[in-house]
Amino acid sequence: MLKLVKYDFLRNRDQILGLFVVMVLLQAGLWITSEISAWGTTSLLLLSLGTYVTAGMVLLIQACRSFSYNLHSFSRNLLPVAPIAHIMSTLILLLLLLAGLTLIAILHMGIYLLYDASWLPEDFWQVLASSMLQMMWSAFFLMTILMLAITVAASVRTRGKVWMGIVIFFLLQNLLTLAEQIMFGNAAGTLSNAFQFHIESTVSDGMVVTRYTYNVWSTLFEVGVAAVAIWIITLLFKKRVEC
Amino acid sequence: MKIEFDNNLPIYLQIMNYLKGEIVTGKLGPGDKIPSVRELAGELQINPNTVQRTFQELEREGIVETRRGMGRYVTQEEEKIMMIKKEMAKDILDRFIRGMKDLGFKEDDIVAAVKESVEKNE
Amino acid sequence: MDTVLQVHEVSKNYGAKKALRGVSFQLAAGKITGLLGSNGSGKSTLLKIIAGLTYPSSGEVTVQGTRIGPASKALISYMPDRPLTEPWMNIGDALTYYADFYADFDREKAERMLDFMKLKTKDRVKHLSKGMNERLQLTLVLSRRASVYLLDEPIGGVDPVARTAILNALVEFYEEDSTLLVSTHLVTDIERIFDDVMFIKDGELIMHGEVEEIRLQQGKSIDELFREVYAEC
Repeated sequence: MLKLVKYDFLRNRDQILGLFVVMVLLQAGLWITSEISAWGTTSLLLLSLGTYVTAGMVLLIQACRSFSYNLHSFSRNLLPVAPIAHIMSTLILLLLLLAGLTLIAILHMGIYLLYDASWLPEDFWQVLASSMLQMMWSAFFLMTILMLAITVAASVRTRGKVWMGIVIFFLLQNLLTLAEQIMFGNAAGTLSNAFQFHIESTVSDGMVVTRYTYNVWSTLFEVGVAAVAIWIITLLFKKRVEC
Repeated sequence: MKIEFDNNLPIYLQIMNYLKGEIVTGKLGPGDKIPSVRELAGELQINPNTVQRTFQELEREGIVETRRGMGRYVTQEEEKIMMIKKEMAKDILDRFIRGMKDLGFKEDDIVAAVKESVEKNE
Repeated sequence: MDTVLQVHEVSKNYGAKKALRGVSFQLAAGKITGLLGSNGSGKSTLLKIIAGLTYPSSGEVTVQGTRIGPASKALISYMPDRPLTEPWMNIGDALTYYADFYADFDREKAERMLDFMKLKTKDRVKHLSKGMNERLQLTLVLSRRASVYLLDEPIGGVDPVARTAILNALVEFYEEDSTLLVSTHLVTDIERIFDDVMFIKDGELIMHGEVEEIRLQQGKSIDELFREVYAEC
């Protein structure tokens, strides 16, 4: 399976490296411009963050295209590997790339902190770690649902597969969000609520106590859904998808 | 070795005839080694199984013999080779005579025609 | 002789269209079989089903007793009518790809074949002509020590020089305990290489016989017989 990841990467290597280079240049550009034009820390933070998030979305889109390519590629489908390996390789590559992106972000932040640490709030690191976990899971979960939509669209013999895939995705996304709202009362209305946390600071006996609560039920539900989705994708891959 | 193959006739027969021709004319002398199945198949661009069949037939007729671990060789028996030569000649003669008779030649005329042709070609 | 490939009552429907109807046959080791038919007769579909790229509507295919699936793919080497390589690769990358995933890939044999075909490992796949690409595909496919080799139109759309090289390679490099199934509609050049031949028409297997027997009994070349059979197409 790791060999599949290697070849997925090699095929998209130029695009991936290009993306990372452009992103780093953009971040550098933003920092320099903010210095020159005196934007203020908040603006810089938002823009930098926005750039990272955009890069993440580009990686996601690329992963979808890569997955679709693999579904239809003759040379891929002839390989003597279990169907699940094909599916997991796309997810693993995406997670690795996102991890790389995160590493660069942390490095970036580290460098900036040396320069100006004034904006760092308390419990920053705990919040950061929890946020990372939540974002990784969001990406994984989102990708799983996207792959399901793509595979279902590829399994049906009609025209307009791309549109079908998009429609299926939105259907699934709304269904799942609705389900979570009804079952667990998540007001946020986002697709992925697992690992989201609430911070409560209470004052008790003159001490500030902070509590982090996590959405346990949401987590279980989403992990379950992801597992089912992967199972369905594997089934469709084995039985219905044609080259 | 270059043979012009006719796809309308079994290839193995064509190779057999060719090899027999080489043997009776002495180009493949008694006791000479014959190329292996692979070699011949590669040279002629034909299926190795076809070559295999040819060799089997030649062996059956006693023209070729296999020496264990060493390959295939033309027979050393001169009478055998002579016999093949006579058989091949008989084939040509039979066809010739039939063809001439079809044209309306009588037996004496055929002999005369042959004599004339041979003398002319001297 | 051992049966290596068994196809049993395979049918394939695309909606109302019947691409294959109840096709059954067995292939033995050491044989080269021609799969003949006009365009659209079902040859490519049949090969894709055996290779595991498409699933049959009904029927069963087994290779060395294994049903078609990830395990059978390790026993089958398939050359489709489109590239097995990805555009970013050079020839060396293509060899590595095969070596990485197929345990039966013989890299040394591949390099010998590349020499034979006058191809270099540094050549980029994008820059190869059609003929050179065919030669590369053939190298990749024949360098595996598989049980079943499936070649879909290996000499179609290729210049006569490449054609000769390909036929040479087939004879030179084929393995005796495996079976070769070659589909084509260009019969004359290649009929000398076949042991057996199968005719497919409108998705049906209408004939399966020995090539030399046909020549002996009917006094015709396979090409001539082909033209007779497919005259109305």
